[in-house]
Amino acid sequence: MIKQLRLQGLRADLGAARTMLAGAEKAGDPVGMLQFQKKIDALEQELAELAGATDKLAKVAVFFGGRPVIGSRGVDAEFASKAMDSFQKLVSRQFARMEAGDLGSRGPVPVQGEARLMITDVARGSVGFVLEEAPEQSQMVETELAVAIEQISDAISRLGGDGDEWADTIEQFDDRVVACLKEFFSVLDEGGATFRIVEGSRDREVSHAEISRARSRADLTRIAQEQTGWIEGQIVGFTSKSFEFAPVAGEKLTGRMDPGPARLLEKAGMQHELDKLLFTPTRAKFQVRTVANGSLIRRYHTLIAIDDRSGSD
Amino acid sequence: MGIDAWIALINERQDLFDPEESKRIYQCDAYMVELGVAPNWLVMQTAYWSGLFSHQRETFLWKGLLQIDLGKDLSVETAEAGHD
Repeated sequence: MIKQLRLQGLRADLGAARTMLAGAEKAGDPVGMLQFQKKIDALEQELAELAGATDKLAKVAVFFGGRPVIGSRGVDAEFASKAMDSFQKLVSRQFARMEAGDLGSRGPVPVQGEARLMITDVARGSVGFVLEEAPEQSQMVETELAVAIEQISDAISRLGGDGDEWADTIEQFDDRVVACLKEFFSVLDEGGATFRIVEGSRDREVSHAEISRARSRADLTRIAQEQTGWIEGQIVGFTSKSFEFAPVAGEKLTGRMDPGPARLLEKAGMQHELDKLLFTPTRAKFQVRTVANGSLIRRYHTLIAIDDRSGSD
Repeated sequence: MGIDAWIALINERQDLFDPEESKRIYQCDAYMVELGVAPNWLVMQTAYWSGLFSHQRETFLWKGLLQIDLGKDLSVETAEAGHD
């Protein structure tokens, strides 16, 4: 069972037990007061233990609503098989990208088998499925597959949202993942469905209007990627994953940092030599991703290399 | 039976009234319901325990409740009915 769904069930039980304790007090029933207080104690302990527990296997529950679903009785089989197939593809491709870097637009997807999910249960209360990582790929800590599922779940819920933050979401993915997102949203949109996804401690719902908007955004968005040459300027700020760079000419650049330059800065910090890289003339290379959708054009910079010898020239 | 008498009985028989003790000693997930309370409160408790124990929370598998009338000795009744 998904941890978040178990937590929700326990919290509902706790609420009911507290109502009953209040009823026992009102009725002046000492037997009931003791029984319900004991029940509350046991539920609170179970909740505390579960809240601190970590799922060792990636797990996700997906629920469908809208036209393909009849009450809590069932879901259209053709719709459900298409939706689950496109969801599995999405997870596999994002997982492959995390493991092997950006995927080309053609050819077999590497490590696809390792992202295999099994349907282990039906989600009750409404119509849906519980999917779990196949056990042979399990690890002792939160798995990479769980991270891939979290990213996909986040993207599914944000792509149809208000405002422009959806562009930040889609920018993280390569063309193949975006193609899978298109396919997934098109299955849901054409089926007239709504969607809810529960994984980790997150529970997200997507209405049909948001699904239509997300489909349109995924359809019309173009992502271009290029690499700059060496750009002269100064690194004026950084964290372990982000940077600020002031070029000699033009506006300040901010964005993510690849592991290579992050390691270089970390090493310089440990050797008390950060002054050789920070606030001093240097050169850096960037990957620039441009997300374009109609009049919206956004550029995202990733720092991919620092010329660590340029300051001593 | 007054409240003071109930409290005295509860304190005396923790093995019956404290579910943790019941489970430890008798391996029963047992909860007590007093039948002499106000009818609406009795109905509320019946609905609560029935809802809680009629199925498993996570698997929705049906399960059930065993009701034991503490005013009867089943071994005596069985003997009277002519069974072993």
